[in-house]
Amino acid sequence: MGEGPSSLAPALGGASEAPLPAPPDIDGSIAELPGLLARSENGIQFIYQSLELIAARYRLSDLAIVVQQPDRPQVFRLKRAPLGAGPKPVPTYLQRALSGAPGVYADPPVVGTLVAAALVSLAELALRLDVLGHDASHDSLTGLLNRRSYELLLEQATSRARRYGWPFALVLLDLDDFKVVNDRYGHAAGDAALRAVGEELRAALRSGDVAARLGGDEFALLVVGVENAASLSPILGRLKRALERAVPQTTVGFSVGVACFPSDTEEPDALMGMADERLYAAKATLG
Amino acid sequence: MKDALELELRQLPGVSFVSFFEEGGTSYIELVVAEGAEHARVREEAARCVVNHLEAPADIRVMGVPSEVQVDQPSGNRVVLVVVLPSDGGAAIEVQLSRSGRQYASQAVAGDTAAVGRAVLDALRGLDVYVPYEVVGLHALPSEWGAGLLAVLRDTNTGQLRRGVAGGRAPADAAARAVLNALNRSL
Repeated sequence: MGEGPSSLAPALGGASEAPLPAPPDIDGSIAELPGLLARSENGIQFIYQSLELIAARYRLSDLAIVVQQPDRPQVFRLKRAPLGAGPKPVPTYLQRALSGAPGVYADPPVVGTLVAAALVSLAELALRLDVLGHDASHDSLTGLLNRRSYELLLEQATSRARRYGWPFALVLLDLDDFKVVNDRYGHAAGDAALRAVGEELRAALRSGDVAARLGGDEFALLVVGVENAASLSPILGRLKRALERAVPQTTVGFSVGVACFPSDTEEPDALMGMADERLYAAKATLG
Repeated sequence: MKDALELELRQLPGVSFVSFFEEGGTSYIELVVAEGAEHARVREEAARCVVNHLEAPADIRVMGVPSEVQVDQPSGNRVVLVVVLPSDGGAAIEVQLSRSGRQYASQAVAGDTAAVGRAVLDALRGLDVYVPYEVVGLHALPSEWGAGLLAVLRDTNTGQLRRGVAGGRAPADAAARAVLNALNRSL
């Protein structure tokens, strides 16, 4: 859409003999968008729900929206539908959307300018808030959860485990002699190794398990369905092999401290403290 | 779960479009990446994100922005009437025109075909088209000529009149088309 809401002003001003009509807002779509935003659990959900709303109101067969973000535009299509890659050509309006100019791309192209402008503005804000929320809860180097998020998650996991009787293990993992990597290969290599460790941790865990970077070379895992430390052997074996792949330049090992819910304790702080003590005990044996 | 995954996928290098779909019992994730993005790397990182969020595996397709079909611009610099539609709960009429990929909407009071004609002129000006014209009137054609309107415009510089005739799904639609028809040779 070429013009924003202000572009309507000349048209309204031109009809001097008639009372100024209200801005175009077919069936109150604009008025509904802020409420939808408030009710949505996150920005992405809001964007797809608002596309559904507008598509229903205008009886559209398809709809895409392009939202500008700091680094690049993001394109969303009704119902998270694919482009339909293959022999069938991508429809022209979608190609236009993929060119990245912020706006609303509809089939048929009948969405009012003001509705489009409101939708794009709110979607931009909603997505930006999602990204900021994600950044605040994740470690920027590895993309894993950060300490604060891990602690919150641990509390939630403990509550759930108490209610439903689901066991889990808290694993603290600390790289041994990681300083050697930094000293010998430089901090850039150290960062790359930590990133690789993060990726391998993610890959080695099962769906539902959680990995976090607590700081420095210290990581934490939350492994569900595990009743005692002995059951962790297969996972720790995978982690060891993953770590060898992640830091191949040197023989960096890792120490772990494990505490299990409910066999060790049912309190999140106590679980953390217990895993920490066991981690340092394991470190002490390295000499 | 899918929302969080989609957010992570959209933060991967160069990703600008994410979709989820199923075909033949298999789940697919389609990612469109900007030119220059490493498809293999994006696929690998996307696979890691998927493991964290989805119970079942998904087939990940990474593709560039489709370029094999040129963006259709049959109108070039021509002005195209995109739509005439009721607005403001039926109290107003919105006229949308486009030209060279730009779009402009203008508004008129419902039930006033002359106002629709003026809205067309305003929209043309919004698209930076030089239109030194004013609406003299819009007149219904004799019924034996069918449902249509005659638009009469006056050149404000020379006083010369231009006329155009058009039909439409509704009087407002016909009015917009008739005005454009009157200006046809000058646009």
